[in-house]
Amino acid sequence: MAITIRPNKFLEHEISNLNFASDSGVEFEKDEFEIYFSKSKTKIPFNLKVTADLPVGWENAFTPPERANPPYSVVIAYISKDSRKRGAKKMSLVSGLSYEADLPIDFIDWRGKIELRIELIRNKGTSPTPGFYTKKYNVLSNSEEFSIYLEDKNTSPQGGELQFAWEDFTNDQSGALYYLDHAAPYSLPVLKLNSLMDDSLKVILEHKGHGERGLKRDLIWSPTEADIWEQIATKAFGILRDEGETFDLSDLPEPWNRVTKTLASMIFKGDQEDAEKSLVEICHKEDDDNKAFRNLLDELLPVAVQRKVNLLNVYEKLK
Amino acid sequence: MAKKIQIEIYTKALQIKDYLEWTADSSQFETTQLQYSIDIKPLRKEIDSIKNNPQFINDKASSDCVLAKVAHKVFKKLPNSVLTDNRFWQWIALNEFLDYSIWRWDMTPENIDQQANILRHVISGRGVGGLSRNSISRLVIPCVDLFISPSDYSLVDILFQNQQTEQSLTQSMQSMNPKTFRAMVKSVKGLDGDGVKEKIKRLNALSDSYNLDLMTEVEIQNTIN
Repeated sequence: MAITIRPNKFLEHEISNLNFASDSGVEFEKDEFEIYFSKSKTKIPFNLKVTADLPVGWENAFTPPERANPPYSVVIAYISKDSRKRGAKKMSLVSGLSYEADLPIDFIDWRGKIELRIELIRNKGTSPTPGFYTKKYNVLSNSEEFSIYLEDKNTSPQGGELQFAWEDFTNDQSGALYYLDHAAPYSLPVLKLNSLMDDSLKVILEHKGHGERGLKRDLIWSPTEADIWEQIATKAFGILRDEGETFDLSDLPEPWNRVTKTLASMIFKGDQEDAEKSLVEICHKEDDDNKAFRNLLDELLPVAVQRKVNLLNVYEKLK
Repeated sequence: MAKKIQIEIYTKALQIKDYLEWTADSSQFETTQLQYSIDIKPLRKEIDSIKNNPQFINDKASSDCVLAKVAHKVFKKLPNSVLTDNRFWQWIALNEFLDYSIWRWDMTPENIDQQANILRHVISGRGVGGLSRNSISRLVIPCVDLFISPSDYSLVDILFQNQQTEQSLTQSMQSMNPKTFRAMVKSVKGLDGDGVKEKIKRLNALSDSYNLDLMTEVEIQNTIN
């Protein structure tokens, strides 16, 4: 699951008040956890200046004998899959609980997106103590993650792009309301609807508004949509499972990279990166009876698709 | 005689479904010219030589290491922003070295039809996974971090000791830190595919509670082993 179970004291997301600035006239826009340099007219090397505050009582992440003089570093931990770079830059104490550091960025060396967070690191080990991380380089606290965009954010649609078409169903599909046509191997399937259905049902299915007719439409569509998600997910997980060497969902062929990312966030709550990691792990897990993968298909997925289509909310409207 | 070419990138990255249209008329896919030029002749010559060498006919993977060293010398002067751009690698793999990809990965029309993902060796995606699959970037990128001197490509030799080693290591998120990458390569010397996988699993497990990026190369190596 996306939740990291930590057996020892860990101050999750407690490093706060992150502030960003830049020099050399390179401009940026900030939107909560995202920072955009893509619009800057000046594209020259610059320093990303980062400041952050440790939480009050951060020393409690260390064992009692160490608290008077804890062995620690505060770092900017960064990773850019687009630039193929990752690393850690040590920060300096400014005053009280505040730390600062400059991360030098050159557009000729970096590209795309950089993810960063601040971490409190133990820089000296001590004897094992129950309830505490005691090894050198253990992470004891972190901040929320921020995304720095040096180029325009990839605005590819995240799913929701399923095409549909009316079709006169023949023998194989007769009696069915819909089926998914997988004929185009690299694309999402096309949702085929039986044009031989009763005209009044067609009117309901294509109704755009609310009211009684809208409720009837939702009562038909919501379980159908849940089933479609489940079918698409089964195919997507199969592709991911076949790709035994894929550790990053972005590497899957279009559109399955986007589909699996959407599914990961549907199934696993919390941080997107953790969710994707969980999905990859389960799909690649080689246990004897495929227990983890079966659990994904049989238990986690059916519940997630119901949440995705708000099935309970639709039924509650009947009250 | 040198064959200098001006570098281009596809303005919009190609997708696997574009391949047939590209083969029909590649000019319909817009490119952007960059300010850099390279001499690709040494790589062209080595590829032609390898394709005609009976030694490699039944063991094409063993040619990777030979080609990697030549490819690195050809591309090493390009800046990181180009070397990590899948639109560049798509362009060069399709326009200059498609014959090599067809030979190396048996990219016959039948195989493409049965297994479309084989096209990812030319129409590669973003990130470390894409770089590790593109026929040309997979030879060049590891050398950027593993190159020691013009006469010492010993770490490159270890990386290409078998295909499992190369794939597992280059697709690991930890390989984006040169120190970690070098430590990983040193620690898998002589191991088979399963042994390499075990090391990667151990490293991934450690990354949950350690900041590996602060460690020295020796510390990482000791931690993995």
